[in-house]
Amino acid sequence: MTPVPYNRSLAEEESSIAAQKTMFEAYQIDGLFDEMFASANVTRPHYESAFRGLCEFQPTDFDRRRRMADVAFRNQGITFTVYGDKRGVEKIFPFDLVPRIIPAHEWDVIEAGLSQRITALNLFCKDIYHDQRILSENIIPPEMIYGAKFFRREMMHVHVPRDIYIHICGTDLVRGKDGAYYVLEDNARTPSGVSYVLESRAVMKRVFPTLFAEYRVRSVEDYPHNLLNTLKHVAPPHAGSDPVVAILTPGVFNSAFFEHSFLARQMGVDLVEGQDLVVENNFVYMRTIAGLRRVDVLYRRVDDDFIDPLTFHPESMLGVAGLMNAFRCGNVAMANAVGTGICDDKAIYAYVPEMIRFYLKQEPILPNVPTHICARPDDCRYTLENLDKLVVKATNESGGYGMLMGHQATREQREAFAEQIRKDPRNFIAQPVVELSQHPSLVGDHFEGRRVDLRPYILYGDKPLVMPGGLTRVALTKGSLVVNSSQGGGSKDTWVLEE
Amino acid sequence: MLLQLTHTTELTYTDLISESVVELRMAPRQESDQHRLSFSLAIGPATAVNSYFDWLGNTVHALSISAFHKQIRIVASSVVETDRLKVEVERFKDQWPGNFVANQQLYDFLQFAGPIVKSQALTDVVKELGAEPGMSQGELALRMLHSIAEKFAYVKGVTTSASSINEILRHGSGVCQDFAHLMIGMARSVGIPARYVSGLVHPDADRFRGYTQTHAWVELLFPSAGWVGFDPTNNCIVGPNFVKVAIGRDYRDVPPNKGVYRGNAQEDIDVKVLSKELKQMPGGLAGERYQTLSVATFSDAGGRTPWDSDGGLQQQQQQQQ
Repeated sequence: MTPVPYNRSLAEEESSIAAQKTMFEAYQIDGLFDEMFASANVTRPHYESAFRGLCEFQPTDFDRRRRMADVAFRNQGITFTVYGDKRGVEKIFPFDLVPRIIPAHEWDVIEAGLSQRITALNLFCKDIYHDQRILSENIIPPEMIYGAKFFRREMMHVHVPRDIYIHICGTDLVRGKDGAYYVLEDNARTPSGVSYVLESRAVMKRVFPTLFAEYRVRSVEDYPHNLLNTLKHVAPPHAGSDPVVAILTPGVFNSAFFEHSFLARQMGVDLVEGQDLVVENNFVYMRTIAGLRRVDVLYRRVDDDFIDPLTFHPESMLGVAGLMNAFRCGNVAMANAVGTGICDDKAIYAYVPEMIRFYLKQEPILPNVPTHICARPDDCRYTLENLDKLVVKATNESGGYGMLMGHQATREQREAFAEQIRKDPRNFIAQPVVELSQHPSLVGDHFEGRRVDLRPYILYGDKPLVMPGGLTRVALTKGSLVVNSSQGGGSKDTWVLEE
Repeated sequence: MLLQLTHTTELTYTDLISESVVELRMAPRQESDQHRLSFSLAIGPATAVNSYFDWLGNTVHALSISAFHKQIRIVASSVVETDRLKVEVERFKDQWPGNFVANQQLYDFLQFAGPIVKSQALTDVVKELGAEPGMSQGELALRMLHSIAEKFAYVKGVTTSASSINEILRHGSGVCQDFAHLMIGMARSVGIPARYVSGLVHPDADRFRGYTQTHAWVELLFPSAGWVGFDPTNNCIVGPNFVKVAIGRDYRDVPPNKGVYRGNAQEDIDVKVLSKELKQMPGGLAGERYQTLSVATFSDAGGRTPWDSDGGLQQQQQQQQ
């Protein structure tokens, strides 16, 4: 995975850069790992054509294309919601037009690593909700599991179809200064963002047809088809050859409602809310104008806590009373299964390499970011002593909430966090600051480096299937390391190349 | 002791409701000191019943009634043989503090969660027990039992099914659910694993409270003897006249009935438990059986069109007294 330096010929230098002032004029690498440039004047080989193409743009042309893209996104209604923002909740997802390119040999490693990881995580879920071998063999201390907020005792000894718990996983990858890919976190509950990947690709093809044609980019457009097959794979036997699949959404006020409706449309399945469903004699039905219609597979985008008021949060209006009993009887399949949140726990994340060794007898292909688990007294002491050098995260938060960037925080912020850690160490982990790789992004009328991560999507049906691409998220503020869309991040199209 | 138990629950609603989904934890547990010889469940309006074991090994019966109805009646009948010897816990060799490890079996029974909350008042009550290292764990457990009986009064209507132990500590009174939660809080405060038991009591003496209702008590873990039952409401160690139905971390894990329904109606719940000691095994016992009771659905429930009645989801849950 080490980048191969590439020496541009003098002729090329003259024709592209020296000929005219380009939008790369003031580009700085700042000692970071840059996705496009191996060094100041050396482009990485897989970015060669893209760089040449981008050099031909003048700010006015580029701006015209940016506006085309914005209009396309707005017309499609591609929005998301930031909670706690008073100025209107729905926002257009900020999109950066400079594509991120990943060569085939790098992708092969990512693909193998992610397949290995989702396989291990599924075996872990099966084990933790049945025999708990990983606890009795002292790989993970029991209190880490039983003290986890998203460990669902209600799932103990429940058989899930084909032993698949995580059907859809979004795993966040980052690259450090060394250019190596690290796993930052797993999203094994209801990962969102895949609709942006598909829509961004459609827009990019329209806005940069020539540039796109210069590369052999692997297609992402079959994702909805693959997702539908993944869902049908777990349908109960009585459903026959054409099971009824539906997407369960919390409703129009959910931040990812656009995606729920988008996927329903793409797959040609019904989009339902909790009140559209009813459980009768442990079967799930949707209310249609033609009467009740049995549902065999639910792609649910409602959190565990709200999925069934009988079993979980009794006040929930988003779920369906009795759904868990239908699930337990095997009359309906749910993707993802209830209880997968245990894998999202950032303290459990630290044990994933151990899980891979334990269940698969393999070495992890993609490494974790080194993690200090504050529940361990030594790690906790280290964390408190080095708060100014570490990133501290609450174990059960997502979307960039509940996080302290120690090196950027004020003394007061660090003190306040230290207090919280001391009060509830199980709820925190700490990691060294990963200097995320940067990528050229449009800033005003020129390109500047901005930090990026990558969220590929993995489906688990009869075998793991990694979508060739993913959501590259960009921190749009200079120097910022937080790429979450809820914290003002944007996205780019991600081009994975054929051999 | 051979016991025949009939546990009748009648839910009546002020208006028509529909889509009731109900879970019952009413079947006595099968344990080494208690054998369920038969169990039958009769439910009206007519519906199918499914059962499963929850994560604590309690038997749960689940049912749904979609049609409009104003009433649900549930009759759970069982014949149980208990074989519980009288124990003298102060004679157990277990010393306090015991070395209990919060492993996968015990973690939950050592935690403060739900209604079992830490407070200064709890700390004070625990301090008055005068626990000393090296003392008998059985002796300490008896002190808890007696101190609750001394300091707290059984009064209905002070607390609710959702009350935490802060309320019984503040008011000095509560019902068996609160007594049980309080003893669990005391035991966990001193590092003894404790769990909640929901069940039925046969009144073999006048002093037993709770025989007209479902009852609740606690179990503490003794390394030498396993889980031993204590009834803080009746200030006694659990004997053969107690029938264990469900165990849990606290009340949240074991409600005898729990449900959600659709409609704008108030619920009224009426529970009766009848128990009888049998001299001999009755003939022709069915191991397990479901029956249907004739209880009206909407067709003869007062002549109103059910479509008038539409509304949000409601929940039902009953306090253990």
